[in-house]
Order: sequence, then C-alpha cells, then structure tokens
Amino acid sequence: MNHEAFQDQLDDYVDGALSGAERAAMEAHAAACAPCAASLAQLRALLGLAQQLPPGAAPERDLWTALRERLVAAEPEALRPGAAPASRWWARAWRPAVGVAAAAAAVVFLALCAWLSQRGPREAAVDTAAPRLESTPATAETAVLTPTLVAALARECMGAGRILQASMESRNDPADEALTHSLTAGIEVVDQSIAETVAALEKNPGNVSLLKLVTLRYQQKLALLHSAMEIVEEV
Amino acid sequence: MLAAETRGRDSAPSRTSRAEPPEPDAVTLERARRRDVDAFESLYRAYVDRVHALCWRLCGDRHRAEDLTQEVFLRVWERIDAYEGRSRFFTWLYRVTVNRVTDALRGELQRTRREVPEDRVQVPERSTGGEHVVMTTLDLEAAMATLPTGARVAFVLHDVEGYTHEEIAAMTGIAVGTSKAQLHRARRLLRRQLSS
Repeated sequence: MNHEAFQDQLDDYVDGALSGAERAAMEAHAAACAPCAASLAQLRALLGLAQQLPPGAAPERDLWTALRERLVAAEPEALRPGAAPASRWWARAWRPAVGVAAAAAAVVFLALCAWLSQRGPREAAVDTAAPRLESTPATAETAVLTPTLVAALARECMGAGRILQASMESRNDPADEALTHSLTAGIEVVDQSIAETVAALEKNPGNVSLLKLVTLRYQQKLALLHSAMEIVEEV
Repeated sequence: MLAAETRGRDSAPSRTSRAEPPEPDAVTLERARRRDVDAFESLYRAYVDRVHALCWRLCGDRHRAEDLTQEVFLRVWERIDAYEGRSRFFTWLYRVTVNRVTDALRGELQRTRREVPEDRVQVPERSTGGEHVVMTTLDLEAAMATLPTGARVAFVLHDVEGYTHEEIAAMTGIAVGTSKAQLHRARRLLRRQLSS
C-alpha cells in the first residue's frame, strides 16, 4: 500500500467500513509510515473532539415570546382563545355544551369548597395540588376524590369540540351531516344528564356520588368527541 | 403522504453515543397535542438548547440559527399530531430540526460544485496551551462554521450527531456518494487546521 491509497481509505478505515484484509493492510502501512500514522492520529483526534462538543447551546436572546405569538397566530381561527362560535350547522355537535360547562364549573367549585371543608386543610392540600385530567382515574373512587377533574374535563370537552369543529369545517364534506346527527344525539343525552346532575349538585354540593356521576358523564362525552375526531381523521 | 419530518428512518441515529435528554412525560405531550400552549412551552424549554445547537452547527450562523430554531418549534406545533410515539420524542424532534434546516439550506447544498475553493476557506486562529497548539471544542465550532455548507452539514450529521450516510442522504436529498465526498472534504479541511 502506498501513501495515496492509505489516504484514500482513511475515512473508511476510521468508520469501520473496510474488510479485515483491508484493515490489516492499513495498519501495516501505518506501522511503517510515520506521516500516514500522523494523519490517522489527527483524524482520530478530530473525531474525538467532535464527540466532545457540548450537546446544547442556549440562544443568546429570548425566542419564546415571539414564538408564542406565532403559535397562536398559526392556530385555525376557531381554535383561538375567545373565538366566536361557528355558525355552521354542525357546530350544534358541541356548542350546546358550552353553557352547561360554564355552569358546571361554577357548581363544581361550590362542591369543591364543600368537599374541602369536610376533609380538612392538610388532606385537601394534597389532592388539589394539580388537576388530574390526563391521569384518568383508574377507579371511580379516585374520580370522586378529585372534583377539579370535573372542571378540567369540561374544559377538555370544549377544546375537543373546537378541534372537531375546525376539522369538519376544513373538510366541508356534506357526508359529515350524518356523522353530526349521530354525534349530536349522543351528546344531547350526555349533556342532559350533566345538566341534571349539576342541578342536583347545586342543591347538595357535598354529595360525592353526584360528583362521581358528573365526572363519568364528562368522560363519556369526551370519549364521544374523540371517537368522532378519529372518524373524521380516518376519512 | 410522507411528511417532511418523517423523511429517513424513524429511529435514533445508528452510531451516536451522545446523551439524549429525558423524554417528556406523557401528560405534557398529550396536552401539547391538544394545543395547550403552556404544555408546549414545557417542551420548548426542555429541548430548545439542543435544537438551537444543532441549527447553529448546521447553518454556521448564530442569528440564523435562532430564526431556524423558532421555525422548528413552529413546525413541531403544527405537526405534533404526526408524532405517533413509535420513536423517542427527541429523535422525532431532531428529525424535524434536520429537515427544517436542510430545507433552508437546500439551495446551498445543491450548489456544492460552485463553493469556495478549499485554499480560500478561512482558518480561524486557534487556542494555544503552552508549547503545544491545542484545538479545543470552541476552535472546532469556529472551524466548522467556516466550512462550505455541504461539507459542514455532512460533518455535523455524521461525525457529531452520528447519522449514517444513508440517513443523511434520506434527510437532505443528496446522494450517498455526495455525503461521503462532503465528509471527506470536511475532515480534510479540519485536519489541515488541526495540524497547521
């Protein structure tokens, strides 16, 4: 092997891309040729340095503030905070729930106050540390012990409804009418139960069974909306 | 449809040994999917330094890297639903970053034949330590920034980030042979600086 052949194969050698025989030839040449051995050492030093580069480097200026504005601007209008309700026919699928959700939030707050007063401050501090929306309770008992879950679920339903609305609006597919009729019927049943349970909670804020029921109903409603979203995305 | 951020293999770089940051918790990720800006900010804070470093090394310009970092996170926000959890979130995020930056550099990557001749590439001053000239990671960062675009991208993706030539070709749209040639060129230029 001469110098030129050694240099040509140097990258493949350090990258482990040579056969056993080729590697042996490279190593034999490096052992007998000081300049080529130095080239190999240089390349290894360079690659070692590349692996020592710090993995992260903070930007010199704050990027989040401007980015946040762009994120909001990138959202479909229907998804932005404070967006006006859509006037399209299929908006019925979720809009009736908005008023109910607002009322439910107020009632659940009262229920939460009553519940806290019954349990004492130390115990309450633990359970109210954070809403547990995403960690859907494994048991109904757990759900009963997290009244804030109800308010979070109500918000979640509104968000899911808005996303569904935006998806269907972007499709503008007449076939969606059948889906909406079915969805609306299901949601109206659940909304009716939510409204009745919330009314009962107004009269009896400390009733954990009612909290359990309203939690369950919101979870059902959310499941309905998610199912509809999956159907829309699949079509 | 093959989304831009899913070009190439949906797995970690094949031979990287660089430490990866922790994965986001499932709750934060799900909230971000549901368009929760606060949750998305958590993701941003957790990964912005890594994304920015990669943008900077690939494009070689700090100010441009900041703009590209914003573009990357904007694209993540728009397409986070496309992340199906089959790979680590960080791996997916890195793919989005590489694809966004190489999209921005595409014109420069295609102009490799007209790049600055090697003898006109600027060699930065190096740190010195006693009698021996020592190249530090800072020197290497500076030297990488002076490389021609194609050579820099190949070196960063292959030797810093650990992607294979096949992965680089898939992500950047160049041929495997071009990736190898650009890496060879980058190593030769950097070695020259190391030994000068």
